[in-house]
Amino acid sequence: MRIPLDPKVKELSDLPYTITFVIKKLQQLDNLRELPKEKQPTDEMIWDGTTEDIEEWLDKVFKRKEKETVDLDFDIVDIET
Amino acid sequence: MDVERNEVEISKLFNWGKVFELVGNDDTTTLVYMRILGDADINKARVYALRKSAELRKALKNTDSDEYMISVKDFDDLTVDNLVNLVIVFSTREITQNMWKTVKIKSPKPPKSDASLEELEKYQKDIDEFPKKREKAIQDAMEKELKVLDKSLRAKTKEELYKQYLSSLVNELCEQRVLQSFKEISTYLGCYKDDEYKDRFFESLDEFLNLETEQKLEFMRTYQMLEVGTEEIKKLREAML
Repeated sequence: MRIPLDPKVKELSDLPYTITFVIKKLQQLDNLRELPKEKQPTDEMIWDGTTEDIEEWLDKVFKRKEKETVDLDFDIVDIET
Repeated sequence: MDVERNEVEISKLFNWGKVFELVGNDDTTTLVYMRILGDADINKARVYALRKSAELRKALKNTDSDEYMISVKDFDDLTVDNLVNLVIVFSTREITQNMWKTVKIKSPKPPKSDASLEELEKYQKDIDEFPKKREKAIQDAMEKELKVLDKSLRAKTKEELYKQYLSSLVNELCEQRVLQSFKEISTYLGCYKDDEYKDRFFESLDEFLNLETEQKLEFMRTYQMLEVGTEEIKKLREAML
C-alpha cells in the first residue's frame, strides 16, 4: 500500500481524512527513515506518541535546543544593599 | 474482534462511503449518501465542537445559569464520601487517557527474515497476546493511580473537595459536550443527497439537530459505523512498512 489511492476519489480535497492520515503517516515514516538508525524515534514514539514527543526527540538527538546555562561567580560583597 | 498488528484489514480504509434508505413516517423512502469527512470538514467539526464546549464551560461558571443548576449539586447535599467518589468518577477518563499515553510496554520484536519456524510461532504468539498484556498493564497502573487519588482526596477538607468536584465535573461535562457535538456535526456534514457527495442532505445543522431523537441517533450510528478509529488506523502500520 505504497500509494493509498481510491478510484472513487476524483480530487485531493475529496479524500476522507482517514486516508489523508495514512498518506501523512507514510510521508512521516519515509522522512524519519532517512535518518541514521540511532537518530530515528522509536516505534512507540512514532505510533503512540505525540508530535511534540517526536520533535523533542529530534531536538535532543540533533542538539537543536540545548539549554544555554551560564555559571556566574560573584562575591557577596558585590551586592548593593 | 481486535485486528492485530499483523492481521491488517486495509479494505476498511476504503469503505468510506455508503448509501442507506431512510424510511419516513408515511413509509416513503429516501436515499442518503453518507461519507467520511475530508480534512476541511473535519476541521470545521473540530472548531464547532470546541466552541460548543467553551460555551458550556462558560455557562457552568455562571451559578445562575440553567446548565449550572441542572448539573451542579449543592455543597450541603454532598457528604465527603460522595465528593470523593464523584471526583474519582469524573477524573477516570483523564486518568485512563494518561495511562494509555504513559504506560509503555515494548511491542514484540519481529524475528529476522531467516528465523526458524519456532521463532516465527513465538513471535505470532507474542503479537496475539500483546493487546491483552498492554491492557492489563494499563488496568494495573490505573488501579494504583486511583488508590493514590482516593488517599490524597481523603486528606482534603470538604471545601477543597467541593472545589475539586466542581472542576472535575466541568471538565467531564465539557469533554462529553465536545464529543457529542463533534459526532453530531460530523454526521450532518457527512450526509448528501447525491452519490457525488455535492448536495448536502440537510439544509442546515439545525435541521439535523432538530430531528426526532431516534432518527438522529440512527444517522449518527450509521456514520460511526463508517468511521475507522485512530487506533484501528494505527494497526494498519504493518501495511505501511
